[in-house]
Amino acid sequence: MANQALDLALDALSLASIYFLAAIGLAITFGVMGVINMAHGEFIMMGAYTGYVVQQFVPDYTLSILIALPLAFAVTFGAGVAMERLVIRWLYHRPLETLLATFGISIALQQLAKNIFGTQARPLTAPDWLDGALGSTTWSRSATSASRSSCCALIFLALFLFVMNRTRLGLEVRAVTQNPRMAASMGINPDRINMLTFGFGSGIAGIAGVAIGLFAKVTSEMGADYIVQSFMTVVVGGVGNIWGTLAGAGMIGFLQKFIEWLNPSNTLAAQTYMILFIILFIQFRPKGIIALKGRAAEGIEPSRQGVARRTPRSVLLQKS
Amino acid sequence: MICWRLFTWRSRAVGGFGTGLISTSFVKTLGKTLCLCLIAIAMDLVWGYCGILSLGHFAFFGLGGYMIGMWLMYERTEDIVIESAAGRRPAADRRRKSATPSARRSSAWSGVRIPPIWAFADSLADPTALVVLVPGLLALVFGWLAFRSRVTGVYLSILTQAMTLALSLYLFQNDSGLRGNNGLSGLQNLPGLTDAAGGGVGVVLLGLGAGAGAWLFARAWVVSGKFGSVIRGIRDDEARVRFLGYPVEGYKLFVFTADRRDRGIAGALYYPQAGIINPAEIAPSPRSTWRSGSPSAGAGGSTAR
Repeated sequence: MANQALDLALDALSLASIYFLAAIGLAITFGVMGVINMAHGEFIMMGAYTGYVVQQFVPDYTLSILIALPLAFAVTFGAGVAMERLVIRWLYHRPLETLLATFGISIALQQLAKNIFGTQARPLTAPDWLDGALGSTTWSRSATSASRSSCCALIFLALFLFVMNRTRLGLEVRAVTQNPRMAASMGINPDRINMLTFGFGSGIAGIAGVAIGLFAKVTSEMGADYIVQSFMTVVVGGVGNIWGTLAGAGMIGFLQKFIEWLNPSNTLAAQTYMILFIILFIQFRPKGIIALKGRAAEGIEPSRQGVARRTPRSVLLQKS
Repeated sequence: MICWRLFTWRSRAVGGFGTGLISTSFVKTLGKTLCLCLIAIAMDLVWGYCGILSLGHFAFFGLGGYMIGMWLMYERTEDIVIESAAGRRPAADRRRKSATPSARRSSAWSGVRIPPIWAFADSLADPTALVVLVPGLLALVFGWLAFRSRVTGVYLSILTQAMTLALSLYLFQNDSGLRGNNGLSGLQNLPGLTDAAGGGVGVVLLGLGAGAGAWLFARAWVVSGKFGSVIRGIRDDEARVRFLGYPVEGYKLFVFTADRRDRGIAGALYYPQAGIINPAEIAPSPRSTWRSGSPSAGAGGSTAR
């Protein structure tokens, strides 16, 4: 019984870690900047495919992963910056239009991946030292997988915290999101910061894609499988707070495994009930588990509350 | 109005006389496009006028399709199911509907265990009512919960997307009684119509034309009055309308529910022409969202101006 509970907890931990990995890039682009990027899942896919391509050229798995991680960051960083420059920049403060535009981009990227790599799932093989079992007890498999994915998640969390709290870029990002005008008058270029932040979020999604690709097969639709869950993780946790995203991923992962345990034969039903629970949860706590308070919350609000307060939508439409 | 006349005329020409003037596939494409137009009109009201963008486009569309599809499938396969349950070989011609008296049929059914979810599928009236009721009630409950706690803008969009995912996952299950990921098929065979393709499509087109016409009239009347001004006000500044003393939640809930109900109806008209429905149609894939998003984005914009 204790063994089973431990097994369940480890499974839940690895699911929560995967959700966290999928959501962390979104915690930057959606959580910090307030941009709804529906193509986020496709950045994850891009990162995973980068890993696959690197493995075609570099046969040594350890080396290939080490090359793939920075390369995936570079590729998705570039893609993110290009997307910000070409599309998203023109749609700040118009979240619904951003949502539709990025939806379109995500279809295009999915189709592009299908054209290049085909519809078949591609393998991304983990090196032996990552893949081997840690012990010989009954729960060693889930223990290995859980420790692997939670280690990845912790590394990403540390990276996020370091960049946001300890670097010049993080400082400027926080300044721009709280008050773009004030930041601009302090000599920060908000355009540039927005571009870099979006690129950083996309790059993180790319690295997470390599990590997720090690646990799952790489297909052109792998991003689409995670997009709803990632958004829910960020929203449930509380927008604009990385600890909230962590809490949200933990809650969703553990809850889903728990419901699966109640009815083990039907994992689809577990997902259904989990989503229903989240919908109800958001009704009663619309700001998530950890809600921002004070000026930080106000600073982010206007860009996110559907229609910008100062410019009615009809005015915006007349301009275009 | 002209459109309506045109559609009735066209459907009569195809359905009644079957002249072969227009090919069946073209009529089907036309009909399906019309159904998507119905959605676009509905979405224009809810997004263009009221500013609520929901990503659950095809959840309610698919629900309507499932409701009508259950009836169509039940009627088509009833004899086969009874005979196979009785241990006999199924009839060769699956499309032929035998003239079995309904009393005998129901007594035969009593021996067969059917999932309770199919209990309403036997007559046309029940599914037709359900096409309106099920999406309407679901939207009412969902909308009431969401608007009451003031979930707005992007949060609402993501919430509706989550709801769509939950619905499609539910339908994907094999034990939900709705044939899992295979979905319902053979919906193009309308019972009682022997010249299958042309006649069926004609009837559907007739209903569709009438529906679209009536809807346009009703909508023009609704948005030209005070109601239209209020929902436009909600789109521009929700808080201002609330401070002016209007029950914003009530207005939004009404628009939201009406939109969902229309999608259910559009879906019920669409899927008999498509012939097949499965949960993948409902899944919140970017493809389906874009499909309905692109026409309505233009429509919403044009009326908003």
